[in-house]
Amino acid sequence: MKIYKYRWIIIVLFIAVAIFMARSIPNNSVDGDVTNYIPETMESRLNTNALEDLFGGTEILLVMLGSDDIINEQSLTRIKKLNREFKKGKGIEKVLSLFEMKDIRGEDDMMIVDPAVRRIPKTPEAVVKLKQQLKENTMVYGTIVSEDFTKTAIVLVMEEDADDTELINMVDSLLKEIPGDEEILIGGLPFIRSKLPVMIGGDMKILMPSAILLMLIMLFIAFRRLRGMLLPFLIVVISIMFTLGLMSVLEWKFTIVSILIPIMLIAVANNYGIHLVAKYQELNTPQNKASNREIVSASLKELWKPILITGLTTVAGLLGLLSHQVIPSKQMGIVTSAGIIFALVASLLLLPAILYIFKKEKPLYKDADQKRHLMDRLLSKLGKFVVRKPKQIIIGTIIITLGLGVGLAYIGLDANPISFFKRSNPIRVADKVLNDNFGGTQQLAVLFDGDIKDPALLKRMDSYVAELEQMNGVGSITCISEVIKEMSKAINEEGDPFYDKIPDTREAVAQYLEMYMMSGDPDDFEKLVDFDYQNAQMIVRINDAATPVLSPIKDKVQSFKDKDEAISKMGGFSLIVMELGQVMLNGQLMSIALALIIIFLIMTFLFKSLKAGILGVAPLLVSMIILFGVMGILGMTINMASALLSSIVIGIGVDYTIHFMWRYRAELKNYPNEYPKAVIITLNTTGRGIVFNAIAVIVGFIVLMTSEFIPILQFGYLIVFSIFTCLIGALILVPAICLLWKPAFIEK
Amino acid sequence: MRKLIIFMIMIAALGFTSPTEDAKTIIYKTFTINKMAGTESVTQLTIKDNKGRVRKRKIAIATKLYDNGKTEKKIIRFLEPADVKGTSMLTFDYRVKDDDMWIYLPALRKTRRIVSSEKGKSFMGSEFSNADMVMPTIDDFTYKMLKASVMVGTVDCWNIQITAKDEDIADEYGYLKRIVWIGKKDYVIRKAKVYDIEGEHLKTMTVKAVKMVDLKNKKSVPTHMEVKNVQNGRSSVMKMDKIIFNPNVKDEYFTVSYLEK
Repeated sequence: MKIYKYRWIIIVLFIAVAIFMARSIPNNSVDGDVTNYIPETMESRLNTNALEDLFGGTEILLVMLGSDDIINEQSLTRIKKLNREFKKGKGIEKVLSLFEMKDIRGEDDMMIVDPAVRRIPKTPEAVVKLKQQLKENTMVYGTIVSEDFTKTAIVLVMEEDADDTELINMVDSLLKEIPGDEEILIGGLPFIRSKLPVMIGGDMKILMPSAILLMLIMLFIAFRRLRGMLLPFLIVVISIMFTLGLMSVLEWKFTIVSILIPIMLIAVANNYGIHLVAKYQELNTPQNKASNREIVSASLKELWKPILITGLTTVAGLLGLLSHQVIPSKQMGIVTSAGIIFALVASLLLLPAILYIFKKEKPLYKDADQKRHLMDRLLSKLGKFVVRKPKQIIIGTIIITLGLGVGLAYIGLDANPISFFKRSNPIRVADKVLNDNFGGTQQLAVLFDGDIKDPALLKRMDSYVAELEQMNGVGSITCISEVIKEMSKAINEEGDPFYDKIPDTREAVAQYLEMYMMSGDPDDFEKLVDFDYQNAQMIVRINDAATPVLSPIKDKVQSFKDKDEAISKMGGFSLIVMELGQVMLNGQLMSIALALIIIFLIMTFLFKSLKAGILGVAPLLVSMIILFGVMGILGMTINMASALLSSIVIGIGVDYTIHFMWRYRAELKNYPNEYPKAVIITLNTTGRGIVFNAIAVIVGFIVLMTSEFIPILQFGYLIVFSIFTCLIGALILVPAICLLWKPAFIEK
Repeated sequence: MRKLIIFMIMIAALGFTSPTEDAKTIIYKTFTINKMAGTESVTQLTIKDNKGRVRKRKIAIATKLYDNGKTEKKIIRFLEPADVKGTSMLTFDYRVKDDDMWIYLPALRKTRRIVSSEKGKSFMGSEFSNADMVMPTIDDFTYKMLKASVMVGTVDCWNIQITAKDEDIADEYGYLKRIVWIGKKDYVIRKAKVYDIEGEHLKTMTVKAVKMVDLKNKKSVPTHMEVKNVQNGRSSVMKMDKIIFNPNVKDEYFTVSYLEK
């Protein structure tokens, strides 16, 4: 064989490529900004950018200070100092705090304009008075100070080009420089964005070595030889080097789903090598007098075809990810496909090349016999069961599938990055506290376009605010109509027909605004209306950004937009997350369809029969329905990671069916028309390989269950479960169908 | 003989004290010496944002001094644009206590007294701030002569730095420090640089024209001022179309009831 001739060149070449690619791994960077996960041309991103062009950045970092009673001299002094320092801070456009927010109120015949906290109270009476004032200040109560006065927030409005990490480090060091006993929580998207890369890195540093260690242990138990352990391991290592290097070369950034890339390679890339090593050991008996070279060549000759086919079907499944519009998903499809192809080629070229240069391995004495017996006993029982009750198996499968399939109706969607974190994670804890007390950490923005001083427009705006405020998940809403109403309260007596109302004339609106200019700070509403009153922005803060909560809010705003020409756009992070969710779901459905079609075509072509295509797809379809059904029943959602599940499961799961059909066809040639016998023999021989293959994959993925991220952790459980259903499908369902259906192609 | 000595001292005082006048005194004079018994003017206020969009306001202003010059009363009435026409503001600027201020909104036929604790506020939404235009409480700041003589255009000026004594004062006025160029002959500010509470350059004000309005008492006012905010790119221009000295402005103008007319 040619491989023997070029063995050294092959070895050098592969190692060189791996090292060359790995050199750029240190350039890898992590992108914690979910916004970048969908293409810039998506509507929500275009709109959000358009809104930012008009009104500048609206992103906020929240710093919360808490104690039994935050309205005390010491805490307020600290907040005042922090406020002052934050205002000086780089990257901060504006600070909103008790000392920055206004208190505009009517009192007797006066309109009083003060900072929300003008003087720090020094006596208990002053504290009581201040609390009363704060309670009446709608711009502060429930948004800057919690209703029970145990917490207050300092909201930092970021400049558009501010660096998240720099900003957070500055906040951290200021909190240390200006010390106090208050409990501190930091939240908001910039915080998540800056912490996510650190956590992703940390997760990888734990998961990758654990997965490798588990794999080494499994390989050693299986092969009991260093060579058997290290060769598949080598394939895994060089394919990880290649794949992660490829990410850097393409300048693709790591995201939360990138955690899956090396784990997937660990789980899958060793399979091809394992088959070869197993075959080598199978042939290398004490009785076999063949040379090392002969044994290697014989193993390769027998296995290269099924290895190639199963490798290609895995790649086919992964390429289904290309139908995703979610950028990291698509990128993952490309790099993992490339990685698997690299591993596949390495298994077929490099692995034999290395085996050639070694001396013949000492034959493995079958001290694992006992285990094999157990496995054999199980498999022959399984074979007998399948042969006896194929009909029942098929009916049972249909019932189970349909039963669990009901769960499909309940499956939710969640693209919110906060759902990445476990409930006990400080980031999520902080987010919850901030959402519960301060009006929401995420936001949705609505752009109004027209004569903003037109009372009719303002009244509509006001009615939208009233409707939205009733909705679950909506926190505080700021917009120019609210400012006008505040003014109307400050200028008119309670009970006056103008009090707390949008006035009826354009002049009155203009005069309220002019009055505000004279008494307040014109910057106060520069985020709400542009300079010539042609555009206005309504900022709806969201305090529960889970997709099922957000979805009706978006629909509500959409319904306003449909009947109001003045509403020209919707944007904001929450909307980007919504669109991400939608795109994820579409990608999920498309990738399932695409993967199944590709698998169908490959099987049809391979066995030259449409029935083979159907037979190949059937267990996958069953497995998919069960998977999503169970997810629905357990209340799991389609998220960044689970959206990738189907492609990966299909790509891996189909292998088991292929292995079965390959051997079953061969056995039927040996024993024509003896279908039950062929099934039993296939399950007893190849069945063992299939089970072992599945175990190897499961062992690779099992470490994901310990991830810090919920989507990754769930992915771990779900993929193990799905691999298991695919395995059962290949070992029970496929033989049952073959027995009942007796497809002709198999007997050709 | 005694008279002669006094005369000589006066000569000496005229000849020598003036150039060495200390910075604090100059500032005090700057904000007091040009106060006129009464004026009437029409001013155009132009506010430009960083994208070149413009807001124009035309206002009529009348002022009058009371209590021997210790209180200045001022009424401002909007002439343009149409939607705010008639909106008026009456202020009593006391030397010793917080100002009184009333605003009348014609669309609602309503007058409201405004009480505000903040001095650093913008003047009518422009980049001018109220704190730029009125005298600070003199002991809130320290004063330092940077240059005893420097030319701004053709005008010989003092160059003085005014610094808030502490951060609370800076917060209240909206700036930490101001560097001003004051014309020696007329005590009119020709140029000012304002530094925000963080000490960073916030805006530069330049005076383009000065007019002596009260010829008898040689009192002058700037009639064309421009301010550029270097941080947000906005700028504002205040230009007086006409200003007349009128010590006999009707007292009735400076009442809340007139505001509503």
